[in-house]
Amino acid sequence: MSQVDCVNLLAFIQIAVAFDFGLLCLKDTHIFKDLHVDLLNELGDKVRPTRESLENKIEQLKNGSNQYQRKTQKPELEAKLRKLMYLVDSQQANWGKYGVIGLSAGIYGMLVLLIIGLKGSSMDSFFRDFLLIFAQSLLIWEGIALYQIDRIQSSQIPKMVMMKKLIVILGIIIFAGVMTAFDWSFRIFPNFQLPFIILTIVIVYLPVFVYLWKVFRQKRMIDEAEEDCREALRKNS
Amino acid sequence: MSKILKSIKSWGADWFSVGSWEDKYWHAPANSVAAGDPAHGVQTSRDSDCLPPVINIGNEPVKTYEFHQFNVDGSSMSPERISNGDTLLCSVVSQEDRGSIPSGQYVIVKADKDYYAKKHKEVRFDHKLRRTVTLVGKQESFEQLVARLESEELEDSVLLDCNRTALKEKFEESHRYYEDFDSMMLSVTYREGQIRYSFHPSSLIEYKAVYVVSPKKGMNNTRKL
Repeated sequence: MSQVDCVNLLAFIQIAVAFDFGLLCLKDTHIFKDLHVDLLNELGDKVRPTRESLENKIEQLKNGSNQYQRKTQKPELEAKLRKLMYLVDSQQANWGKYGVIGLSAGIYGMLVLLIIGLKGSSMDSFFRDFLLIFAQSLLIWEGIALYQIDRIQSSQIPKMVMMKKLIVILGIIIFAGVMTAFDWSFRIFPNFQLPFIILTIVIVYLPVFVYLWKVFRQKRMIDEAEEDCREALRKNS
Repeated sequence: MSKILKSIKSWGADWFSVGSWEDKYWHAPANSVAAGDPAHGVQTSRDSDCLPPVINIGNEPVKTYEFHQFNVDGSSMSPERISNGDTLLCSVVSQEDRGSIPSGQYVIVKADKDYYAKKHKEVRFDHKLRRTVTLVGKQESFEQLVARLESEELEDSVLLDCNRTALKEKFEESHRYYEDFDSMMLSVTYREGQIRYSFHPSSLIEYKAVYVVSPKKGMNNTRKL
């Protein structure tokens, strides 16, 4: 890695590290949460005409004399309306439990900044192997952690749990150190530079990727639910 | 050997399982009400602000200190426009009124710890939020209940086959568990926008929500329920 590459990479990581720790510490006041809330409010405004049409139709069916229509159409339309209202609830924009992903990504970024800052482009094989093993192990752990976090009902990670996870991350650092010291590296990649850069970008920007993926998925679900409502309205008009 | 394996398994679960992300000893504050399952460890991220002593709804002043205040935890009631983090102003339901609560009220029901323990769940909240549908008498059969829900237009969602099956399951389950009751309240909540029914002895209903205060962008939006 040349000096210029090093500086570019460091700059790229620095931004992500600030974001990652921000995700951990700021939670409710984090800019990404505000953006998510604003997006949900906007989507709520966008679906308002459909929602109001649906509400009017339900009211018509409720007050109408056609019992058959009330029994067949109203429950179906109500179910669709509830789904839509649930999806656009802006209070669901809660990123507290993803703070731990920010923590692990931030620690990795800090360590990379430290090692590259100290060693520069002339890094010896020990640090190269250490960084590769640490990156791979951490990425696996982050994948598992994301899968598990998505399955818990809590919207926050308690401080005690956060401490335990911090110990796990420190354990991964020690594991990578021991593996490197005894030369038990995975040797998956033939060279250092490209895998290291890709792994580093994936790890430090993982919270951003997760955020974007979740927000886009939510938007798609809202669009689908709205289309579903429109279709039901067309069918029952 | 099996003891060692058990210890390793328990240690691994403590540190690396899905459950390891939650505080198993966590219990919600007394002024929190679960919108949804009270066994779930849903925790509101922000600290709820103290409400001002008087809030105006239009020209009507509402003295907040005259009500019990509950903070809503969870998004289950969002289809009813009650969101996570909202505050409910509630009045006490007297012993006599518990047997005559009308349909469409938002009530705070005491979570029955023994009922959840039987389902191997630990209750994290003392109370849960539900919307009432109707009171069910001890002698009333499932068919009679459904016929009444249809004829009195109390809850049209039971007209859908899938909902009717779910209602029947809950009806049978609650009648098996609560063998001795005067009347039960059929109420609803939602899970990801889909309706969920529940039956509780009416003696477990403690409060009735009168107003909901939604903190949005530093403002308190209040509406009557």
